[in-house]
Amino acid sequence: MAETEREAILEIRDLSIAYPISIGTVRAVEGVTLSVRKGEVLGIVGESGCGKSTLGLAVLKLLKAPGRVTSGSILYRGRDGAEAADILAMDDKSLLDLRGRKIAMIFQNPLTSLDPLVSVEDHFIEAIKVHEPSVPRKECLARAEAILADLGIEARRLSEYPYQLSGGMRQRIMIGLALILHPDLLLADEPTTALDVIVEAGFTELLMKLKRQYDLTVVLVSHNLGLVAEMADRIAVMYGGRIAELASANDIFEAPMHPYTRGLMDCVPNILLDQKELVAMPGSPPDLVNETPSCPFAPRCPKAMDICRSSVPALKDYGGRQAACWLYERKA
Amino acid sequence: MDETKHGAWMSPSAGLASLLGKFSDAARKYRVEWWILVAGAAIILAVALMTLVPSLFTSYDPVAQGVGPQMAAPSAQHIMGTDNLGRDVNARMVYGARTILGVAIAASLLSALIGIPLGLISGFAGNWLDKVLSLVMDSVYSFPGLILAIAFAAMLGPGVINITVAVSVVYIPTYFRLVRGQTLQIKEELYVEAARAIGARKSVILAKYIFPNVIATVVVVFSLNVADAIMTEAALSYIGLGLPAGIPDWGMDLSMGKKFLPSGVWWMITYPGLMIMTLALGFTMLGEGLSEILNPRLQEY
Amino acid sequence: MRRILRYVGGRLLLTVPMVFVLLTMVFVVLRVMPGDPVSAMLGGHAPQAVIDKKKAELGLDKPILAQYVDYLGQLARGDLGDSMILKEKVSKPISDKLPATIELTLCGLVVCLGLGVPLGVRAARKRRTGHDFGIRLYANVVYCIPVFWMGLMLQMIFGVFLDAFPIAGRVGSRVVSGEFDRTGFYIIDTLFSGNFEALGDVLYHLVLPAFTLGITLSGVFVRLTRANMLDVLKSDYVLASRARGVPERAVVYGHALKNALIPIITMLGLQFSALLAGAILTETTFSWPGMGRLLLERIYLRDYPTIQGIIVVYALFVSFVSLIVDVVYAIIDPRVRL
Repeated sequence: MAETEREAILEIRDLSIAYPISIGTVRAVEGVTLSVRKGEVLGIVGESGCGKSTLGLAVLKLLKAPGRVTSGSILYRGRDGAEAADILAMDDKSLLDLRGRKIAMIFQNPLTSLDPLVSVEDHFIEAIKVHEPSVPRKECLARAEAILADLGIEARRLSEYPYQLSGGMRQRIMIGLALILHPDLLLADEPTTALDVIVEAGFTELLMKLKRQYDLTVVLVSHNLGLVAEMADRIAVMYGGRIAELASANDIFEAPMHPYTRGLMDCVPNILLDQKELVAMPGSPPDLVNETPSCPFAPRCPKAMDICRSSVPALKDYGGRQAACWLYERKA
Repeated sequence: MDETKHGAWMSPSAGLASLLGKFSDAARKYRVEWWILVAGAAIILAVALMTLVPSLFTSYDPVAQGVGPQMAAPSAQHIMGTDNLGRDVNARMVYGARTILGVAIAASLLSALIGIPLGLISGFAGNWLDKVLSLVMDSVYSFPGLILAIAFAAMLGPGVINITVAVSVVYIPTYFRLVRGQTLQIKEELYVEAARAIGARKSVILAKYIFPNVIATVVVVFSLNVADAIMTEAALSYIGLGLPAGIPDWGMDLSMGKKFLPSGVWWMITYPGLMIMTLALGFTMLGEGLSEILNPRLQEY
Repeated sequence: MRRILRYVGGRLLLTVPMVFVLLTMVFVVLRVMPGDPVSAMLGGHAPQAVIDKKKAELGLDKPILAQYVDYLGQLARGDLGDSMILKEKVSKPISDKLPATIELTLCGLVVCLGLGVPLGVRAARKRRTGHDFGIRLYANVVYCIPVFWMGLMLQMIFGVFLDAFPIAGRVGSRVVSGEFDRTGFYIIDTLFSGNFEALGDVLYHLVLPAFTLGITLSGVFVRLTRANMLDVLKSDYVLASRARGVPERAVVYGHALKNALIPIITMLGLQFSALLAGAILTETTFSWPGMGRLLLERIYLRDYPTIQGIIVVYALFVSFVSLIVDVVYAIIDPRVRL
């Protein structure tokens, strides 16, 4: 595949993130290694609480207290192929420069992601001015109008306040704010969860159009396998803070390796996939607090073996795709 | 302000058991809040002990003049010094506790006894009566309470009962508004609608469903209210509207001490103020602790 | 602009019932309770005939209801009536003393917000650290300090022991207030008459009373600011602006504080009556010639019309402030439509 040769814009290496709480430590992300290739759409899929959103926030070093990175690094290389820098080691100034200008992020809930007291135009002016303070107000507005046109929003909306806009419109404005400075990488954290189905369909189309137009690399974090299937080139499936499987979207849908991936797909009603019946996954999400030397999925896995309950499988390569499962390690 | 999930009606014993359960759970879950509650209760108990057995704390008579020299600084004989009439300040503090604690609690009880039923009726009835009562209560509530208390205290004249009434006027709207708001909310709950649907009488619904749910919040507010009433009582007697001479009272001692402040008699104003503050702090802490435990919000990690 | 005016007009109409309720209460209480102005004036030993004559003169022999209707009619014409004790209009002492109270109250408010809001912001940003616990302790202790004791302690420490600030009055003996007094607001008067020496003296006298009021009430605002800031700092738009590279200071003071201020402004309306109550006690402590002292004096004299007048003015003052609060609120929050 051509994609494999492409240069990595972002490399996450052996990243672990922990949240100390009163009853122990939640290990939200455990030893995740992942690279994002220039120009691709990488989907990160998993149930809520699997660590996927935490991972997204860590990329911008925006973890909410008391969460902290316990090990690993996040290397950012950028579109222009500059020297890689570890985001986690950046000082505040470089971080502010990175956020919004090089890596932009859109969040789950468009209804609450805009400051209710600030008009749309002031949102845009702030977004531009924090990075380019010398740009005059007039030009900021012109740029905002241009990007709103790409998003299919009339210019008159600029003077309105968030409460006057619909959810779908607010989501598009969020995207506009993210793209106004032409970042290299867009992190989209559950971008459609709060939208209804029809708006969601339009959103997918729009995002793909913008991706081409703005030459973007996209990381799409979602629990919605259908959405990820539509957009992603590659998919990383996360479970219990670890990557369970990482492969191209085709491979994942045609031949899922990890039993969890298979389980996920059985949960999604999809007329395109050859599916006998809709199955609910037994059991509940893993306990991230108590450390156990086992595969996190073992308690719910239909194919669990003794070894799954006594040691953690590593993410291994199986001909261009990766999985962390003892089923294959045995055979190999 | 209230985020309680109103459960269905519980029998008194089950209610008590669940309350005790809540407290023992709380001791584990909210360590800080628990200690705030315990510290508040300890202060209140200590002052209560003063009112019950004052001889434990002092051997002097609070009103006897000339038990020591006039305006003597704190010493081994008079640990808080003496006032301008040669009375022992410590003894006046110990015996003064009775006045302020009694007036504050009685006034809060009186406000609650008037405010709660009016709030229940107003919220439950919801007709013209509700409108009139709400208008009156809101007017009083938004007006500076102390000014009303001053007007009442001045007109009623000095006296323990009079000052109690004057203080209680201020807080009736607090209970009224709280209870009315909760009643309106609970009235719409499904289990109350269900009770109404099967034909329960209004009085039964009020007594069995609404009142028990309202009372948990009232306990918290009562405690905070006593803290406020303490300061209102002290304020009234400080400006000379409270009590006839001869009853030891912290607020009165303060206004007396004010006269001798320019000559540097610090002990006559320091101790009464400390006592008022500590007692008010006790009730505030008790109230805050209770509110966290009876009405738990999601703790930030 | 027309909309705002109409809104203001509507809001002002709402204060009528409030004034009416309070006035009725005070009117009834004044007349039902023992003690009356005539006995207070003539002393206990005046012959009955003299007392009755005086009462008839003042209209106190009429039934309460008739007196009440008379008074309301007078009030509706914008007249607060005449004092029963002194030969003056009720409005005279009130307009003399009101500026002193307003000046004290506003300065207290400035101190209160100046302390409370920044401390609350700081506590929220450093939550669960030593700073946070220290600030919360301050807030809770200060909340429980009676305002008059705070005044006495500040007088004792800064006035008596350190001898740094005056403890009584609005101006010192070397300054003659008649030289600049126009409006009764001494800060404004001295500024406009260019008498900067007097201005300094006025401010010097304001320090302790204003801090007394401000510190005591700042506890409420620390707690309120902290709680609201914690909520707002958790919100999605704060995270979103951080993700756009907005510097922390701008996030906290631009986005978060602005949003957190909305409930604080609402609270300000309610806390203003606490401020006025505190001002009465502070006036007593600092011999400040304001409304509070006037009220107490006239209560001893049983000067009914003046007491009623003072209550009316206080009620109007409170309503006026809550009106301003609402307008400010509407200006800040675009969601509020006037």
